[in-house]
Amino acid sequence: MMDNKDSKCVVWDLDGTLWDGVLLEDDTVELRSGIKNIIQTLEQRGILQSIASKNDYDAAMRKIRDFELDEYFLCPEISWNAKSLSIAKIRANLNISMDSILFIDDEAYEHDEVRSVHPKILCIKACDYDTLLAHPRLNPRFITEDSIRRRRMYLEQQERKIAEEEFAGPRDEFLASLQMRLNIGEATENDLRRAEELTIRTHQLNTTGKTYDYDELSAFIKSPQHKLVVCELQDRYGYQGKIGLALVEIDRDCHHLKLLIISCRVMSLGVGTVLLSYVMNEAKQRGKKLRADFKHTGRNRPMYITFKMSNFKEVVASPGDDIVLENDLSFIPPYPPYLELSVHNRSRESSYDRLRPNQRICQE
Amino acid sequence: MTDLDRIREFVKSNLTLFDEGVSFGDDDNIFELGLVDSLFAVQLVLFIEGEFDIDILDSELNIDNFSSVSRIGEFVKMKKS
Repeated sequence: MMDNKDSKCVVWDLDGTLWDGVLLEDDTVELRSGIKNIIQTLEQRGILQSIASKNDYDAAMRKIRDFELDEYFLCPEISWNAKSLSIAKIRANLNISMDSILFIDDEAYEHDEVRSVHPKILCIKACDYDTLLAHPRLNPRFITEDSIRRRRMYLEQQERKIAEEEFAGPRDEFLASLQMRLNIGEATENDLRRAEELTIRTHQLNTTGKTYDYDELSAFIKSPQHKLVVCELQDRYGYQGKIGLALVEIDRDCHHLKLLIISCRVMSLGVGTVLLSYVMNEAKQRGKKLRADFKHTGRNRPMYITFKMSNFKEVVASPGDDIVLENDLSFIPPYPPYLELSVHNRSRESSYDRLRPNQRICQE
Repeated sequence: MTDLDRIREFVKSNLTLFDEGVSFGDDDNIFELGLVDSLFAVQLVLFIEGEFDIDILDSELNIDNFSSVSRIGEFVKMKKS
C-alpha cells in the first residue's frame, strides 16, 4: 500500500529533462515535445509540481516564464546545491512526505545522490517522461474540487506564511488577522470524493490510517447509526477547502469516534482540535459517553498526542495496535477565539435523536 | 537557564492565551489559561523530548503531566533521573 501511494508532487529537473540541451550553453533551448501538456494535465489532476535544477536561478526562471510555465511550479529550487538538499527544502515547504514525491531527471548520478539521502523517493528517468501521465501513482482515483484548487491553495498558504513572518504582534493576533471561518456540517453526497481523498492523503492527524472508499462513505451518510461530519475552512487569503473529517458511530449510550482526520496543511493555523471539540460537545450535550478508536500507524503520533492532551484515556489496549480511548468529557477544549465557527446540521434531529427502525434519513 | 526557565519560556512563547495580559504562574493550569490545540500539544511534546533528550512513552502522555509549568518540570526531572 505504502509503495503504491499516490504521488503528491512531481519535481522536475530542467536541462535535458524539461527541455533539450543545457540552458547556460545555449539560450535557445526548446521544451521537449508534449511537456506542456503533461504539466497542465498533472496540474488538473491536483498534483503539485516543483523544480530541482542545478542552474542559474535568474536565467532558468526567465526561460520558464518565456515558456509560460512559471505559474505551475511551487517553491522551485534552482541553485548549485545537491539535489537531495533542494528536494528536502521542497518537501519542507510543501509539508508533504518524501515518499509522496516523484523526481524526474536525465542524470543517473542525480537519481543516486537523491536516493542515497532519501531512499523512499520515486525517481523516473527523463527519457521516460512521456509515460508520466500513465504512471499509476499519478492517477488519483478522483479529481475533486479541492485537488483542482490545490496549487492555488499552496500559493495562498505561502502568502499566509509571509504575512506571519512579517507580523510583529503575538501569534493569536496574527491568527485573528486571518479572519478564519470554519464551517462544520454533515457530509452530503457531494463531499464524499473529497472525504475519500482525505482518508487516503492524510497521515499525521489521522486516528486510524484506515481508508474508506466512496461506497462505504456513502453508506455512512445514509445510516441512522452513523454521522459523517466534514469541516471546511476559509480565510482572507481564500478557500482552504474541506480540511477535516469525522466519522461517529451512534449507540444507545455512546458516541464512538471511528475516524478523525485533519489535513496537515492547516495544522499551523491552530484549528486542529476544533472538530474534536465539536464531537466532544455533541456527545456531552446528548448525555452520551464518548469513545474513540486509535491505531498507531508509525506516522500519526501527532494525533495520539492530540487525543491524550484532550483528556482521552486508553480503556482497551488489545495486543495489536488497536486502541480504544474514552473521554469523560469533564474538560472540553474551548473553540479558539480567533475564528468564526458555524455549524450546519441538516438532519440533526433524525440522525441523532430519532433512531426508529426502518427510518431512512432523507438526504438532499 | 534552569530546566524550569526553559519550559516556562517555551510555554509563554507558544501558548495562545484566552485573555491578553493574564499573569502566568508556574502552577497555573495551561489548559485553562490558553488554547492547547494539536499544534501546541505536538510542539510541546517534541520540545520536551528534544530539549531534555528524553522519550515520552504513550502511557506518560497525560494531561496531568503537562498541566502546568511546574508539573512539566517535575515530569522532566523524573524522566532524567
